[in-house]
Amino acid sequence: MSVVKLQNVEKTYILKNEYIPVLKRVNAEFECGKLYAIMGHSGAGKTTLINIIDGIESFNSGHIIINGKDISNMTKFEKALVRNNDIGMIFQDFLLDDYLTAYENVMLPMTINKKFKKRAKERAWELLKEVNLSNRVNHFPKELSGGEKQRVSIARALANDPKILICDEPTGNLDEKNENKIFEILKNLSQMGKCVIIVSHSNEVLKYADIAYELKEGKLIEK
Amino acid sequence: MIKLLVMKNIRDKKNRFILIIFSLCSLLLMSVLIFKANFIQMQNDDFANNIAGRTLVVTPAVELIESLSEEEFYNFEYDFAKILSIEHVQEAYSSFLETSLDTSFKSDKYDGVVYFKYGTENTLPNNIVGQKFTNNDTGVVICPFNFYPDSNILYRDSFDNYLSGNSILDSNFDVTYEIPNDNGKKEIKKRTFKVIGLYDNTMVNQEANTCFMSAKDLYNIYEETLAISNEGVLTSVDVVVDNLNNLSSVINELNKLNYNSIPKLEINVEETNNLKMISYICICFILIVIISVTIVYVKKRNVMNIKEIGLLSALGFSNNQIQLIYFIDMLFVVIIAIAISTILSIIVYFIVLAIFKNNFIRMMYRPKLFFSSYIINYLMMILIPSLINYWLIKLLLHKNINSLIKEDEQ
Repeated sequence: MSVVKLQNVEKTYILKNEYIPVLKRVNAEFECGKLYAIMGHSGAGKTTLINIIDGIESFNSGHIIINGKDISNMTKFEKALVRNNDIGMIFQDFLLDDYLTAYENVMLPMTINKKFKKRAKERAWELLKEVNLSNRVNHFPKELSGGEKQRVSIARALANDPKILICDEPTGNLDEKNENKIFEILKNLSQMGKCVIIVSHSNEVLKYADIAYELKEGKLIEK
Repeated sequence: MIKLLVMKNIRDKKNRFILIIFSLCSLLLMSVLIFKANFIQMQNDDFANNIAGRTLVVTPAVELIESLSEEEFYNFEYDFAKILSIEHVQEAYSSFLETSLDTSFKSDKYDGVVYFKYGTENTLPNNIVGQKFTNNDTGVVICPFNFYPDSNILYRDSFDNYLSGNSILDSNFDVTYEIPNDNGKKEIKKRTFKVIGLYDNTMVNQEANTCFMSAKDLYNIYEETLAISNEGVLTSVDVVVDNLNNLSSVINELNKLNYNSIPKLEINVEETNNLKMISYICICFILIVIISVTIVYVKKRNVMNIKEIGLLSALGFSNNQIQLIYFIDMLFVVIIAIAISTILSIIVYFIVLAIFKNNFIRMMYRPKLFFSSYIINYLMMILIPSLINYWLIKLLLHKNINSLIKEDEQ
């Protein structure tokens, strides 16, 4: 069953009276238990696509259904709730708070989540253990390597047990060894039932992807 | 979430600079507010508590004097009955009655000179411990709790040598003065007085060598000492009015009786207004500094935190929650700053108090800490930075989240 459904999604940027279509009637379905790779050249609109799925960016027409909820007409607040409950996000440059320890960073999304608020600390420790960072829980980001930072970021994305993980160039700042480690973790997560969507330049992701798409001229084409 | 925010703030060393600036601003603001409150209180104390504030010095009008013959002038007497019949007038007595006299308090420490004021139920202070006296009582006085029987009270550099009220209450002392005898020479007369009550001279702005004596005793001493030599001398009369607000109506009534009158204690309006104006300018200046510092700090901090704001949005924090986070963030800094400034202000207060005690002996007033000044300071210090922060974050949140996250890459 699909947890992310795109129906005729269109997005056009207007720059100095010039219309630049980025997404042209995009249709796609993403299911739990699979790892999706979205590839494409720079400027193809990959990040725009995942930002639209996140509800971070608006779109011109079409529908996006996340976990059965149509976010097309949702308010900012409702979209924020969807992001907090149903989507975990992983970024290229980790975006960890420098003044919070690893487990505090993981706790952050749980502090506003009714389901996990009360046992946020215990859960943060469990999640860090799952990504093999049980010896780094009290370390600050500056004391961690790039790969470790990204694993903290993955633990944080899993904090509220979302069905969907959206990763924007998750290995962009990592070496090959760490890149494979991160992809392995993400693959495991998909096998555990998560819907993992990875936007990446790296062809390495194709080794792990169940389905790969290419975004080309505003269309999402299965590879 | 609040716990995480607090931890984050404690660890963020960049907060220390703004903490110092806010503490100093808060301390300055508090100092100005306390100074202003003390200044107003000092004036109020002077006028409301000091009997001189509602006392008029009355003399005959020039027209009245010019209309008198030499004999009439020589025998001129005030119409006390008419003066006392004026509404709101409580007392009227010759200005010569109040006098400084030598006493047996004279020692190595003091010259023993005590100033005796006209004491009646209308002029005695409210804060008397012990007994009061009536107009007809004799041989009794009421002195300060902290008594300093010396004429050089204003020029002493320390109050260390006070006579404690406990040691003088119910004790006797002698008053000596010279009276002319039939041979034209002067003889020393000694009279004994008992201290039956004590009053707090600082509350009524009287100097520490001022005692209250009954009208009867003061008249007797006047009769024995000055009455003869003052014969034919035109003296003024002190008229005590029941309330400050009634001074002008009594002045008008006295005018109708052909008397000129001026308040014994006059407020320097220009000086008062200048001081008030200076304090308002200082407050405005400090507020401008607080606003500017907050804007510069918040903008600079937001540039640093811009990714964090984007991240919080991406993690599912609503705009209101993000604004609340940054409101609490600023509140935390401000609350620590005002806590520091409060402690500093108390230390500064005791230093100022010590300076006052040692250098401003003449001023009966002692500076106080005003709760209202603290409240005003707290409100300004909390509201201004927090609201500016809230507003600037709100402006930032209108931007696209993605553009916030990728801000430094653009």
